Amino acid sequence: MTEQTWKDVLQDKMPPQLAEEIDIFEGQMELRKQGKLDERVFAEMRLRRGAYGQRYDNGKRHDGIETRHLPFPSGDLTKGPETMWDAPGMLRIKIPFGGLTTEQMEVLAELAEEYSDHILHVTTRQDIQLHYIHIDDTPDIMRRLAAVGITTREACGNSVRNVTACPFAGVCRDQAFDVTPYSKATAEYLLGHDDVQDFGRKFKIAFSGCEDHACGLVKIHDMGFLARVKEIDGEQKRGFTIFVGGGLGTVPHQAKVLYEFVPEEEILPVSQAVARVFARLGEKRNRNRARLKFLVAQLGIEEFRRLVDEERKTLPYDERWTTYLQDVPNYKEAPIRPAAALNGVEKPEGFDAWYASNVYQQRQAGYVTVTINLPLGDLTARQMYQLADIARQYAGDNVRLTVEQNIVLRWISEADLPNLYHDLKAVGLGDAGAGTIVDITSCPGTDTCKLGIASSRGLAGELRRRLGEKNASLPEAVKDLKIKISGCFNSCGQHHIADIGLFGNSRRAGNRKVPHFQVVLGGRWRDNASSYGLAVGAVPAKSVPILVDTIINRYATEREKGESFQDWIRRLGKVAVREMVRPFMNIPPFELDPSFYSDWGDTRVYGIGDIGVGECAGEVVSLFSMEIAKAESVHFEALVALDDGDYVTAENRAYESMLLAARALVRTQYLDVGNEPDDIVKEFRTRFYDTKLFFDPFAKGKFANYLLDRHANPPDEIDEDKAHRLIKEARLFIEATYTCEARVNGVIVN
Amino acid sequence: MSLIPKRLSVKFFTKDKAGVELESLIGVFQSWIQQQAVEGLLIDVADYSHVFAGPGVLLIGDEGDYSLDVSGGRAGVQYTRKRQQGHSLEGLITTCLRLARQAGAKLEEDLALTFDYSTVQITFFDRLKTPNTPEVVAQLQKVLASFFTEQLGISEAQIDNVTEGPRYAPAFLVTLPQALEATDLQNTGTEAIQQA
Repeated sequence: MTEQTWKDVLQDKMPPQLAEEIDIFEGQMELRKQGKLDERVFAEMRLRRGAYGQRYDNGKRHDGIETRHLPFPSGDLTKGPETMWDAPGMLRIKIPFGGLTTEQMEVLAELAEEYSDHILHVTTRQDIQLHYIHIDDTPDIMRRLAAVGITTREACGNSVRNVTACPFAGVCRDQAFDVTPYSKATAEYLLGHDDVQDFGRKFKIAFSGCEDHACGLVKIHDMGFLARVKEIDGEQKRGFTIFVGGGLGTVPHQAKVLYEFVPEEEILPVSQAVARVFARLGEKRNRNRARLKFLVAQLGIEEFRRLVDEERKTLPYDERWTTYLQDVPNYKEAPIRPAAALNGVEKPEGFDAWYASNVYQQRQAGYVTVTINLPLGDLTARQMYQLADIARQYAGDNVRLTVEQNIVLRWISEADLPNLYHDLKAVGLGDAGAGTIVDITSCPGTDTCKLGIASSRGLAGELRRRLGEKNASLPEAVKDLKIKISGCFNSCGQHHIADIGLFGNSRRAGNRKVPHFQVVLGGRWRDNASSYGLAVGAVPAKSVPILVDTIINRYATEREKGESFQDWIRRLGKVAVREMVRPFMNIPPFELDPSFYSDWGDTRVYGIGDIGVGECAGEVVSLFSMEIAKAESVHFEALVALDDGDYVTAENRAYESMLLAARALVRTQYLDVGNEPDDIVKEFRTRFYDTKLFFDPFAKGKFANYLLDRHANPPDEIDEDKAHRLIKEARLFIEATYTCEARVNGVIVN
Repeated sequence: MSLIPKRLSVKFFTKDKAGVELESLIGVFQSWIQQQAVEGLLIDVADYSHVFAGPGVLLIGDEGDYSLDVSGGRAGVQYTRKRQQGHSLEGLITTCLRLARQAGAKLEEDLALTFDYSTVQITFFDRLKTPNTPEVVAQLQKVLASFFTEQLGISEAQIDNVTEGPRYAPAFLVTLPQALEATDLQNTGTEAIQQA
């Protein structure tokens, strides 16, 4: 008897499109195993399904003494260039605007237990990451997520990443309006959209409801939306200021205003137009200059705006641009408890400190939002179950992840706070200090990232421990400072926008390497991350905690009344700031203090030999290569169906694979061909058949006719012979497509 | 439906009342990688000492992970088989018991910890093959009883269902009349995977 699979069990629970996409990905995995799909193409496919590489996945690891080969059981099989098939990887799970339901929380917990290491990691983009995942497990994980409405699609790779939004949207006291339904609509509209498939790099979008706070961070994004209300013809009209070209990375760029006010009905077409301009003109070969920020800087905002304006005029109308707006007025979250004041309720020990830092008064009277301060963005699977229970009791499905790697529970009745605090404490989630100096943001760094140079998590853990121990005695002036740490210059830990930012690098001392952190001071988190800090010098990793103590003590004692950290740094001046850091830059000889030659949380003698090739830039693979791979996957499904005796499916899949191959070819000339078979065939005929571009020197138009005939004359009845024949014809058609593309565009695939 | 789960964890609890300094495990597990001190393809060390009652510090492997686990508020040495489960549930249980027992012995040498080998927690992580239903839990309990009696020759093993609630993975606490010795777990003839 055949055993049941997750695919069988969840078939009726998954949205059909997601289910089909996952099947296609599974087919691509099989093709890769058989050596029929190029590793670079598969790598980009995998990344666009959220399956990311992890440190040591090239099969090598320095154990502190020597670099060892990791003999994974699948031998030389790879899932990307220098990426071994069996090597543990990371799965990034997109949570648009960070919004989670309790049911989703439980499924995430199950997945962490069954496929990962019982840990769920909240990222700085409101995603959830599972680490140490085997690629073979990813289709089932995706199915279980799809069954509760979550996708990993385009969580990595050169595509539109998770659309983030302020976690207080809708409950914020200062917002223009709730940006939640707009961020959701944008995420849904752009997910898998044809116009976001041909980028040279990733593309990040954020929404914010107000200008003054940092929650949305719109100014560090490729595209940022800031909510505005404008009076037009006597009517209050909703819209957004749209920013473009922001970004951190090695060289941070402040976003520029593309449009001061775009009415709500225009935000999707404008996004689409920006995506098209980026896809057409953005850098493709040099990944270090391929983000939108470089294109905007190169063209200038006026020229970029002109191009977007022109592109907008050419967009074919799409009713989805505005259909979601019908539901916006009705978008509401429902509290599950009646609003009630806290008055007179007995407060448990520790409550007041927690209340001061972790509780936010909502715009709705009697309700608050509670932030759960996660250490390093981590919580266990067990805690996630327990948190789902707590949410059901106090908040319902009003749970969101934050870009500071925390979780918020919204719509908490104030009177419930003491009980909620008690319950959170019981499961280890009641730490005070959310959003304060002890709540340190960190990227994965050398723990799991291939690009990590120093242990950002190790340092963050150490600083959190030290600062946490003396939190109560810290001067008030420093409590709200932000510390953010990246393991390398790529800024995933957002070090540029922290008061005290740190990013990993290494320095040589004699013949040895020493982990260091570059110190970046005076970045501005508030005002949607309105300014970036300045690098003032690199100090050994082991000296960072004492340097941080020095900086915060000096700030606390030297600041003038009301002086912000940024203003204090500016007043000190670069020379004085450098002098403050200089004493901590010394490295003792190894013989005197070998601890300097190891990183935080890692006892190995430090080295940089494990740094690999990062996948955050994705593989720059041509649009045709990506699309033809879909045709290959569907053709593979046709073969499987034939083996299963399901001839109707086999025949349909074979036809579909030809359509996809034709579409891949057409889209090298005409992006807007769409998905309708009639349109694809019409464009294919006009552009490649009538012009004879598709013709083989000997067979002439024979292979093209396989598609044209099948399209014009679908069979009334399908038997094994017919299915078998069409599968063979589809194979020939796909091969001819490769040849034609190489001939016409001069691109060699595989 | 096969009862071989996606992941099977076996945990022996510490006897040490003072608790365990989890940070010290990082260096120990790094040295295990250097020395190839335990079976399997050893990849990396993951430190989760900062989370409450979590997986502690893990030695990540390809076939399975070793850890000093503090989940449930009780520290213990744990082995979790995650790949190459083999052909029989009995073989899988033997492998996990044997490797957890070996890791415990090694930790006793390296960190002066002590473990209680007469009590073992066995957890089945697979919502498809071993869901937490009364039927499956009863089946698993039966398999465990049979395993300890027939494979290990321990007829007085007490097997308690300690699954905490309907949504949690089935977990059993096995209490034995005497400590399991490494020799009890060899040559049972049931292990499907012989490590190099």
